[in-house]
Amino acid sequence: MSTKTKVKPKKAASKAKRPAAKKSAPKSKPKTAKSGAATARNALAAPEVAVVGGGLAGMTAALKLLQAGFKVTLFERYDRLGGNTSSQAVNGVEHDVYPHMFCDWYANFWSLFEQDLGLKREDHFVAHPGSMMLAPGSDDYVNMLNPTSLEAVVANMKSGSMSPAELVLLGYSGVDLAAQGFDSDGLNQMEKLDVNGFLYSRGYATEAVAEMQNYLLTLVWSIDSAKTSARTYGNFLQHSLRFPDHSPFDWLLKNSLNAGLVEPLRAKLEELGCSIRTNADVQSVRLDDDQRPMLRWQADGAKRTSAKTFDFGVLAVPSAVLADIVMCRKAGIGGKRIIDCEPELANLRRLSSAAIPVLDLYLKEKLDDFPIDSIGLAGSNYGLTALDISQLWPAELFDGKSALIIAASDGDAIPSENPHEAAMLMLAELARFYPQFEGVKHWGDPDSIIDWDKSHMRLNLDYKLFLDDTGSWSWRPRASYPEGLPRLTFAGDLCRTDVEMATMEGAVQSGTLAAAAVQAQDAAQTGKARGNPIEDVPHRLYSPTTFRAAKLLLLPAAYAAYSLVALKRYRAAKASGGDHAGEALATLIEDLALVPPKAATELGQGAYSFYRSLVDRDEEDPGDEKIGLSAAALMVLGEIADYAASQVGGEKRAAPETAAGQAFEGVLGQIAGIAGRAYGTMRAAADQSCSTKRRWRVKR
Amino acid sequence: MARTQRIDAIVVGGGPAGSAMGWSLAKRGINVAIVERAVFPREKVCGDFVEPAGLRIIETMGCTQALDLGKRLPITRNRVYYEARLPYHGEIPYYDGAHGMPPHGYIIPRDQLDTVLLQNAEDAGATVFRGTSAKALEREGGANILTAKQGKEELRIEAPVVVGADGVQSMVAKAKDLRRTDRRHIGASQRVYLDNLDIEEGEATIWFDEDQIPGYGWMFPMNGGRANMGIGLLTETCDRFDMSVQQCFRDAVERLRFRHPGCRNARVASKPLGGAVHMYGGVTRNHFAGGILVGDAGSFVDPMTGEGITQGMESSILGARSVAAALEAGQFGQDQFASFEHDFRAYFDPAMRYLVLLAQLLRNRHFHESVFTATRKGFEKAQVESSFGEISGTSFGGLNVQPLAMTGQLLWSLADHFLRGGAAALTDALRGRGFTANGAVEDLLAWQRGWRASTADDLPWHMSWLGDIAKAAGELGPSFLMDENPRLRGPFAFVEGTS
Repeated sequence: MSTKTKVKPKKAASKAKRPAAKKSAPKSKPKTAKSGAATARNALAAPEVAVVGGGLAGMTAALKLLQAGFKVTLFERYDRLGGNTSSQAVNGVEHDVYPHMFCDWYANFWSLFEQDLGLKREDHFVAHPGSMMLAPGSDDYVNMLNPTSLEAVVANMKSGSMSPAELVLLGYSGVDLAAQGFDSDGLNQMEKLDVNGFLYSRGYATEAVAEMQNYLLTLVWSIDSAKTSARTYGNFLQHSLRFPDHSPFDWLLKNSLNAGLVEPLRAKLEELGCSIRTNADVQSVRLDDDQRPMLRWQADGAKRTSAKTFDFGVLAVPSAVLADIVMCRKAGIGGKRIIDCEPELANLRRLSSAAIPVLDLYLKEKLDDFPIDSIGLAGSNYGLTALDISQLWPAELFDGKSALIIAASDGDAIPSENPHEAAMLMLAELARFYPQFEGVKHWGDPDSIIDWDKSHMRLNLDYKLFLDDTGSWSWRPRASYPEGLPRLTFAGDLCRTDVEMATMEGAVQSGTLAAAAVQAQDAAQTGKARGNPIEDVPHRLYSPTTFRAAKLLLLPAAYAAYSLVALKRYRAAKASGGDHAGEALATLIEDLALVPPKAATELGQGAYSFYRSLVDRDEEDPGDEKIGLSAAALMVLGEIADYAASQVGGEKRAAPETAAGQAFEGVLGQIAGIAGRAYGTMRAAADQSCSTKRRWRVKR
Repeated sequence: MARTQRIDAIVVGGGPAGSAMGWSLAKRGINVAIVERAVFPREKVCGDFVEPAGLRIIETMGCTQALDLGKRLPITRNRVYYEARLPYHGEIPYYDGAHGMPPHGYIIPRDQLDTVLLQNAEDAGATVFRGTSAKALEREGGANILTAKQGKEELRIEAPVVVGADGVQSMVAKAKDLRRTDRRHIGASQRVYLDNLDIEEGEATIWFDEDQIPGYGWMFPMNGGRANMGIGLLTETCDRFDMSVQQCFRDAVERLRFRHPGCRNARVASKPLGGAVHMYGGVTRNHFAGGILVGDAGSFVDPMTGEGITQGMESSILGARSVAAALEAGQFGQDQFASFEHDFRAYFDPAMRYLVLLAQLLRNRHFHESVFTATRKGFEKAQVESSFGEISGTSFGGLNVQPLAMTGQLLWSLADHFLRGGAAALTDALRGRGFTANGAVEDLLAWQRGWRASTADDLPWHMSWLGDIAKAAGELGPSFLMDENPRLRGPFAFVEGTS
């Protein structure tokens, strides 16, 4: 009662300001606002929805709800929208929170970008076939391609990042994890397993494979493989293992996140009449007797908090903030706490996240031969990656000079919480790979190639990345809890979607699902559906049966590769001489002797789970479109025939350029290769050059 | 106001399927009424080609005389054009006069055929409402109530059984929510009558053009220098590739004048008309509480040739048994009519499932080069090897479809072609003659171009196409297990043999 009386004058004041500030606001708006959502609700008036959190998930939810005819107010704590996909402008220079990968299979994200915003992907993004790695003291970039074509697989084998045998094992471990059927609600104790533990349980795993999986996870999700949920990562692999569809690894935005993504989204939201409140810090959300969310927020510079009751709410904030809102520890505020209505949400407090410190280095010169790709600096402390945005973003921003984004995926390893000190530590690490950066003494050191005025370092403590911890699935919030919270929904990459791994796709999809839940609740209460149905875009991925078949098919190759690795290790030990040769031989014999029983066990288990999925008919993930085994098999056979035809002198498909690769000792390529290549040379001499290039882009 | 008539069975539609149904039911002493929208004779989009199996049914129904079949031009020969090439020219290899079928087909324009068949049904005892269009079908207390309009007068007919024989735009199918909309299995056609032709006696012409794949064109001659000429295409392909049936048709007329010496002076003698067919690949449930669907309404059209006159009549003769059984049992629930599903599956599936697979394989237009070459080589092979024409040729309209033998022939031909070609190329290379272009290698590369184009253009479609092929292949059980295609002995023998 007390809140309601306080609310009114405040609301009137804020309403008075708004029409003046925004010309586009239709005249009818203040009227409906004045009547108040909670007080005299007119069945015909659009329900008011508060979206808390202006990140990608919140913006998506707002957009979808506006399209369906809801009245939306979007609250954002900072001055700019975007959250983890925002950019900050410092001295007139845009600095992205951190660089993002836009994977090709992000069906909901691309639908938002292409359908809702009406923008063309090719105009704003560049496709990248893979990513690069660089070892300290080396000039040779190792190109790891997305293994979505035979050409890419062969090129990866030749890349030199690992021995071909280890690469076979790495690839196989991915297929194996994708083929592993975890229980669908994540409650089985035995299946609360981390990626590293999963590898440990496998007969074929080697140290190098475990290290590489750990490196990849650290680089992309800032999480150790010993902590990452195997089930969640397996789900990611199911989405991203798309051989042989030739899809690129990811797309990189050709501009800052703010200019390329957030501004178009914001413009669209405004066009649809969204009321956007930036610099508004939502302090509490409680529920009134009808379970309506009562928001209390403080606008920037305002002395007092504002409050308002909405018809519906969407909470799209990071896990720590969400836990605070849900628990609402503040005393003396009216209304029910969210946690009292949905006790399961207490688990939000268990979710964890990590900050990724990022250093934007603008240079006084152009770096020659710097690739246009994300480069993983292999073996660096702090898990550094480098990306040259001067070759990606509009050229006029850089004046012909280079600008590198250095991100520290393993940020907690940096022994400093002072930004400039941390920057110096990262620079010292960077110098091991790029000697140009040696000897920079302090932030602002004029005797360096760094343009300090434009450069910027931030620790990103406010922009933490959600971590997909082992067991976290059952703690993550659902889009909605219609029983306990009929007027509140949840969005963000931390929410449960069928993209389990924290990704922008997960954010967009969760935003869509939250909006759909609001729409459904509204329909349930009014008895009438408002607007077109809000639906997420299903992902197309292989069925579990297909993954299990692939695993069985690759199993012999995996154990052959494992034997090869053991043999190599023995040779290396023998070559190094000394007195350990006997020990190495014993190890080799042990390893090889264990191969048959291990392979037989895995074959038996694999065959059984394959049989089960044939019988059970691929029950998982109803939200996804599954590609069946037979279509997948025909597709793979077709691609192999296509590849063979190329070897007989057909049109060669450009396997994206790789640097290294002379000493190719591949298991796979040699068989298909030698005869075909000799023949192909002859044929090439005889005739034919075809220039039609395959398009990277996959149409939906 | 509306007068209500109570009878045993209503047949909606008086084409060949509806008439055959009316005739079959009347012969069994069932009180049946056929409701036909048009007043016959009327024009109908069709190739007018009645194959030997159809003629056998017409003879059994006793319409040979009324149709003056003796005076018509028997079709015994065929000419097949691939662009300007003529890979096949000669007798139609599988018209052998066996099983009581004549060794030829006839061209019977549909205005004449349908008129005679409908009259025949009436003569057999069926009530015929001509110029009466069915408006609504309702089910009340176990009876079907059909509301129709005859001129301005409204008509109400009540019957426990209703048969939908009302074609592609079936009102009955729509009322029962069984209308098929899957464009993968809907063909579109356009045809015209030509005159001023100079055609060798009884020689049909069909042709394939690389820009009109999947699809083909026909020219079926009649006496007096006249012919029915038209083209058929798959609607799904037309949608995906922005192909216009009208434009393809205009091109086809021009090309026919150019490529066929006897058509040089062809004159278009009627207005070109367009239509659609529902092919067997898209067949679903054809029965419902209170009745069944037959003919085009039930998707009984050959997926390779688009022929449907014979199949329509066959489906009716099978269906009449289920209708009669229901009337006898006095049961009209959906389960009662499931016997029709059983019958038509047993009768059509063995051959049709195999043809559906072939049609699926040919469905991807990106493979136009390969499809074009492969089928052309098939016709060339048939020209010199009569057993190939007799067996594999039946994929283009023969009755004696032998899937196992056909698969053997086709796979063996392919293997032979590629092994020989590969060996020849290898020999050339090893002997130091360098590479010489050779058919097998070129064909492999053409396939590769198709594969690339298809995967690059629309991968999800490509994958779903592969899934369709796998599905069609997975349904080949009845094809590979059968001893003899039941259609070979005809629907009457089938009904007799299984009752």
